[in-house]
Amino acid sequence: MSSVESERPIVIGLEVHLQLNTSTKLFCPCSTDYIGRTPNTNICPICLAVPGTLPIINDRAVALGARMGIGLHCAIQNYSNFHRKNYFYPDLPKAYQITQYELPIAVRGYIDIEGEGGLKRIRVHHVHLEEDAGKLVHPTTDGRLTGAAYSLVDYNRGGVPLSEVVSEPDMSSPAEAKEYVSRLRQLARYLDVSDGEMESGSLRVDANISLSNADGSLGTRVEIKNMNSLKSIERALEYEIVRQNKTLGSGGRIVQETRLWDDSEGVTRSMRNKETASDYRYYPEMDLAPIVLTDEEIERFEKNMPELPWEKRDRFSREFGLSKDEVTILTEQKELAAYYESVVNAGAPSGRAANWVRMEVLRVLNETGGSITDFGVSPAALAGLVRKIENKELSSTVGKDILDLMAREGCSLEDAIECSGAAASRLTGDSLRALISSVVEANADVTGIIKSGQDKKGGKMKFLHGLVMKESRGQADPKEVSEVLSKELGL
Amino acid sequence: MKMSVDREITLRMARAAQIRVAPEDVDHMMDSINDILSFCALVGDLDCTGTPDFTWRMKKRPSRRPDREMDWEDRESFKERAPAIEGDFFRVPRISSGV
Amino acid sequence: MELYELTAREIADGVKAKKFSAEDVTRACLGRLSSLETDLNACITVMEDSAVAKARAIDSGLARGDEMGPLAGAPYIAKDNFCSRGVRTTCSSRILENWTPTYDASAISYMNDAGAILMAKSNLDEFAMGSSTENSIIGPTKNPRDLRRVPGGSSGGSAAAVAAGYCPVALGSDTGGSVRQPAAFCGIQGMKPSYGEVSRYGIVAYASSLDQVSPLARSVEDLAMALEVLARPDPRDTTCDAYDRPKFTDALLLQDLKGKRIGVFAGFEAEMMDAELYGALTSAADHCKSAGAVVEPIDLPIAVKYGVATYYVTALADASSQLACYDGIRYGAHIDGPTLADMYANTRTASFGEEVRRRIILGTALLTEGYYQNYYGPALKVRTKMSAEFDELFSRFDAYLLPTSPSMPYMLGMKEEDPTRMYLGDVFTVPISLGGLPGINISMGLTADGLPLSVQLVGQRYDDARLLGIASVIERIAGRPGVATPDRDKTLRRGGNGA
Repeated sequence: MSSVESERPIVIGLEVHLQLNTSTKLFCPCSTDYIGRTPNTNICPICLAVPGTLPIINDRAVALGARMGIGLHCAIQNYSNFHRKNYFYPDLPKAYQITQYELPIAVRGYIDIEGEGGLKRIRVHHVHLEEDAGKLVHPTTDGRLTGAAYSLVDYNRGGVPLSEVVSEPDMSSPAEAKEYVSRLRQLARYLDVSDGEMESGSLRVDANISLSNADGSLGTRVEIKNMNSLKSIERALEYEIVRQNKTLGSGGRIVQETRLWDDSEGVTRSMRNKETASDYRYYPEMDLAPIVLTDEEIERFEKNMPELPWEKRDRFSREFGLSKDEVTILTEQKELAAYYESVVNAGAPSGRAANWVRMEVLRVLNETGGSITDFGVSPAALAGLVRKIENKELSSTVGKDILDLMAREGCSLEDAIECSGAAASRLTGDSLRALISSVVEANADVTGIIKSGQDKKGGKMKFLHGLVMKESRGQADPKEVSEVLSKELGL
Repeated sequence: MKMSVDREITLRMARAAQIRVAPEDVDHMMDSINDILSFCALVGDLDCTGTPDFTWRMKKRPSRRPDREMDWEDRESFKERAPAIEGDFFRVPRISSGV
Repeated sequence: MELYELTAREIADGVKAKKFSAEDVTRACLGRLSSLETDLNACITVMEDSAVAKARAIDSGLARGDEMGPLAGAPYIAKDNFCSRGVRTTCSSRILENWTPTYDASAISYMNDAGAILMAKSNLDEFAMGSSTENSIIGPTKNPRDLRRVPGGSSGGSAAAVAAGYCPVALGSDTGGSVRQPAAFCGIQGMKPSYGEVSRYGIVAYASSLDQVSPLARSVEDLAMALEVLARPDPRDTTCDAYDRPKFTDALLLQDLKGKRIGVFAGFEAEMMDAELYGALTSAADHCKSAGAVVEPIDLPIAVKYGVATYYVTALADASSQLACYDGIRYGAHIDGPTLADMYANTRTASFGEEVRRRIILGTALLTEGYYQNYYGPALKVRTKMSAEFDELFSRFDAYLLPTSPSMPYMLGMKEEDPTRMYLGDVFTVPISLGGLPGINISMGLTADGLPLSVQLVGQRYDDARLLGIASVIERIAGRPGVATPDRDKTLRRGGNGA
C-alpha cells in the first residue's frame, strides 16, 4: 500500500482536532459560523477576554465530546476539568487557552481500521475539549508571516469548540495513518460531532512519527503540522520516513522538533525553536466549575447514540445481502446510506437499488458536483425507476437518461419518462412488427438456421433479439420483441 | 523541596511574562523571587500522601449554557477601545519570530 | 445626627417613610465626601451627577408609589476593580487608566436594582495587590481614624469611605483579606462571604479561586442587607453556587448565643500580635460567654503554619495568568514597538506598577516546569488538607473567633522589608480565603488613642446567615462603630504612639 520502504519500524501517533458542530462557542454565546464572516463580528466580552468576564461552558459541546468518546469506545468520565495553557500570541486573547489537560472527558478507547494485513485496532488515549484560537492575517503578497511588516487579528474563530482525539502510537505506515483519519472523520460525521472538512480546517491533524532503533527501542519523535488533506498526511509522513532514514543511514541524529509540511514543495521544514520550545505553565482553571456527568447522563448519551458506521455496515450486508465492497461504498457517508435505505424502503429491490445508487447516483453527483443531501431525485422516484427497469418496462440505458433528466431538470419520474421520449416514440404493435420483419428479411441466413431447428442453444435467436433492440434504440419492450419475433419466425 | 533562581532564570521568567527587567534591577528581582521561593517551600513540608488536589465543592451542580446564539449588541465598542485598528481587524506589530 | 451618619437600613426606612428624600441623603454623602476627600484620597472617580440623577429617580418613583428595593436611596461606593458601565474602571493601574467598561458587574447591577446609588469608585492597591492602598495611580488613601496611617488594603478606599461617612455601604473584593483587614484598620464591619456565594462576574480578577465580592458597612445589619442583595445564583459565573440562599436578614433576629459553641483561637506564639488586639479578642470571647455561648480555645495548626505560603503560591500563580490578557491589543494601554515582542514588553513594563510586575514574574516562576512540582502542585494538596482541618473544627463549633490582623494600622510609607514579618500580616485572613469560609471583621471599639480594635468571626462554608446572626449579637454588646472625623492636626504632630 505504502510507496515508501523503511527497514526501521515506523511508529506513528496522531492528534486529530475536530471542530464541534455547535451553534455557539465553547465558553460564550457567540456564533461559531466564522467562515466568510466580516472579521471581528462574532465576538463578545467573553471571547475577547474583556476584564471581569468569565467562561460559561456550552452544554452541547460537552454532549458532543462525550458522544465522540462513546463512538471511540472510551470510558466517559463522571468528573473532568480544565486547565490553562499559558502563552502569549495575538490570536489568543486571554494569553491562555482553556483546555482539558489532566482529566479529559473521555479516556482509553479504540477504533478499528482496515490495516495492511486486515482489520487493525488503533487505541485512543483520550478525547478532550478545548477552545480554538483566532486567526492572524499577514498583509504580504503571499499571505505568509515572513516579511509582514505587521499582522492583523480576527477573533471570530477564537473560542470555537474543538475536541482533540489523541491516539496511541499504534500506526505503522502512512497509509494506516490516512485510513485512521478517514475512519475518525467518518465517525465524527456519523455522530454529527463535526463536519470534518480538512480544507476548511474543521478537522486538523498533527502527526508524531519516529523510526525504531535496531534494538527495538523507540526512536526520537518528530511532530508534523500543517497537513491540509488526507493526501498530504500520507505524503508528509512518507517524506519524513525517507528523510529520517536518510539521516540515520548517514550516521546522523534525529532532533526532537516540530516540522511544518509544505504541500507545494512536498517537504517538511523545521519550525524555529523559538516558536515551539515553550513551557506552557499549565495549571487548573478555577473560573470554570468542573464538568460533572452523572451515570444517568452518561447512560442517556449512550442510549441516544445514532447507528455507528460499523454497525451500519453489518446491518446492510445482513439485511440487504450486499457484498463488502457495495456496503463500504454505500455506508461511506451516512447520508448516502440513508438515501439508499429509503430507495429500498420505497419498494426497490435491494440489489438493483444498490447498483443504481452506487453507480448511477454517484456518477451524476460526481458530474454535477452536488451532494446527496441536495440530490434532485427523491428516493421514491429512484425506487419507481428501478422498479420499472426490474419489470422490464424500461431498459437500463433509457433508465440512465431518465435519472439524468430527473437530477438535472428536477422533474418527476413520469415527466422524465415523457420527456425522454421513451413513452411517445415507443416501438410497439405495428411499427414494431414492421421493424422486426425488416430485420428478419435482412438476416435470411440466420432466420433459416432458426427455422430449420438448428438453433438448439438459442444463440441465433438472442442475436436477432439484440439486433431488434439495437435498431429500436432501446425503445422497444424486450418481452414484446421476443413474442413478435417468435410469431414472425413461425415458432 | 526548596528551589531558587539565578539571574538567567530570572530573566527567562520575565521574558515569559513579557516584562522587561532593567539590568540594574535583575539582582533585586532575583532576590525577591528567592525570598518567596524560600518562604513558600513550606508547602512541601506537609505530608500530603493520598490527598487529592483542591477543588471547590458546590451545593448545587452548576448548570451548563444552552447552545443558543446571542449577539453582543455593541460590537463597535470593541474597536473604539482598541489601541490599533485597521479596517475590521485588530492590528499588531511585526511578529518577529516568524521572520 | 447628620444624614451621612445613617446606616443603609435607616436610610431606606427614612426614604420610604418620606422622612427625607434620597436626594437629601445623596447630597449629604457627596458633601461629606467633598469635605474630606483632599485628606483621605479614597476615590478614583466621583459620580456626582449620575448619583443625584439616580436619587431623583428614586424620589419620583416613590412619589408615584412604585415598589422600592431594600436599599432604596442608600448611596454606595464600589472598589475600582468592579466594572461599571460607562464609568472608567482603572484597577488603580496605568494599564486600564482610560478604560471604560460597556457592562456592569453583576454585583453593581444587583445593588442598583435594589435601589442603592453608586456615587463613586474607590481607591485600591493596583489590581488589588497589596494591603495598604498605597500602591495606586492616584497615590495612597489615608486612614480616617488617623491620617498618618494606612487604611489597610487592598479595598482601603472603600473602607476609608465607609468609616468617614461618605456612604453607609461599600463594595470591596477580598482575595486574602482585602476587605476584612481594611475594615479592621478603619474600624468598621466588613464581611467576606463564602466562596460561591456572590457572583464574580465583572470583578477584574486577581485570583479566581479566592476573590469574593465583599460588603463593608458600619453595622452588621447593613452587611446582611447588602449580602441579601448580592448573594444569588448568576448564570454568568458558574463558580457562583446555584443553590437557594436563606434570607440573611432573618438571621439577625438571634437574641443571644445560648446553645452556641464558639472556638477562640489560642494557638499563639509570643509576639505574634499586638497586645491591644489580643485584648480585643479576649473581650469578644467574653461577650460571647455573656451572651450564653460555650467558649473554648482552639488551634489551627495547618492553617497557621502553611496558610500564608499556600496563599502566596496560589494567588501569585493565578495573578500571572490573570494579568496576561493585558497585551496592548484589544483594550488598555498600548506602547508601540517595531515588533510584537517589543510592543508587549513596552506596554506591560511601563503600564504595570513595580509591585504588580514583581508578582507577575513571581507567579510565572511558580508555574514553570520544576517549580510547579515543588510549589503549586503541593499547595493544591495542602489546601485540601487545610479544608479538612476546618471541617473537623466545625463538627464541634458553630463559629470561631480569631484576630483579623495581628497588628494595628501602620504608618504610611512604612513598608515592611522583612518578608517573613510581612507575610505574618496575612496569617489570620488567608486561611479563611483558602477554605472559602465566610469571615466577618467586627469592630471592638477604639483604643485610648482612637485607633480601631477588632476581631474576626469565621463560620463554616455557606453558613453565612448564621455567622451574621452571631456577629449581630456580638455587635450589640461591643457597640456599633461610629463615623470617623479625621483629626487634621494629628498629622502635624510629631512622634506619638506608633502602636
